[in-house]
Amino acid sequence: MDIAETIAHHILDHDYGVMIGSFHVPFTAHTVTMFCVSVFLFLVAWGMSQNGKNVFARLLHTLGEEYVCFMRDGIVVPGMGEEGKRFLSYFCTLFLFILFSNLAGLIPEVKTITSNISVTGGLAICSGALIVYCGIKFHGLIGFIKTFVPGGTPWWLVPLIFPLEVISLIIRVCVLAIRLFANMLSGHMVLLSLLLIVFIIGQMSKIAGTGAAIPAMGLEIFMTMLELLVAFLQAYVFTLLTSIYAGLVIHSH
Amino acid sequence: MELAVLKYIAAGLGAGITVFGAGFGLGKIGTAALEGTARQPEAANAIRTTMIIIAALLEGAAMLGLVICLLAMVM
Repeated sequence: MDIAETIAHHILDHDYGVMIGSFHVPFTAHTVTMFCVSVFLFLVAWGMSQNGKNVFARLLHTLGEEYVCFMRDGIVVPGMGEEGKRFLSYFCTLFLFILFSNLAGLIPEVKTITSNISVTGGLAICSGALIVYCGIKFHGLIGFIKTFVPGGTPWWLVPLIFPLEVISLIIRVCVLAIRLFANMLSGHMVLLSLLLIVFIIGQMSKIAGTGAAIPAMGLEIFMTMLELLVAFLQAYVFTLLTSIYAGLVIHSH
Repeated sequence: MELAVLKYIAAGLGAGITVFGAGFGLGKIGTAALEGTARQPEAANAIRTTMIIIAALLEGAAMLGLVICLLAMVM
């Protein structure tokens, strides 16, 4: 039983090596899962738009209304104010995408795409682009650069404060990516390690392995429930922080 | 002791200190939340939501440290 190979198979990405001529198609386990999650998200969103005559056709529509009201009144308007309503669709998509990706990772044999730094990095780049776009749209390009210098700083502090504020924005966006990535990765590594402990002890003696399986499975069940909580929480925190950072840039003077 | 062993010792110590900091911080958050709820039970829901958000932010910082420890061990 090769531990490094087990970890590589379950946690790291796995390239299928598909080539068209000499072009290497990026057909990996994570991209395939991301495509499936996107198709599922599209079907859910389509279902939310159907307002048919029978109660089952209206079920997703009702849930969708409740969900959009929750996003608008709980996340977008408290964070960004009334001007945030035009970006509501981005926040709704972001939250559901991260939520479905995190939950899909809890299904056995389905990969967690948000445990890949490229995926969370891409999501953070989208949120960073939204923040910069809000800044430029509401203050103009010069005004956006002026928001990095808070009102009322003496002129001799500006060469110190301006780089600090720029770096602070860049780091806040990067930490959004790393927070989601690290939470998902560490959760799955703990889950995998608990199972591997049983096999490692079982290689010494079968009886010890069986005995070790009981607390290991207990912890495993508890960790899976914690992972379920973390899945919802990390999606909520990512979306909430994006809206709060955008609100800070919009209302900064 | 070869230099390669130091990687593992460093990773373990780093992870331990990170978790210590996270535990201390989460304890402070819990204390503040419980005291606020005890003073004003009507505000319990708002306090609980804020507590969970701040706890998630703190966990993010702790996870950053843990990821660096894992990187130190692997590279």
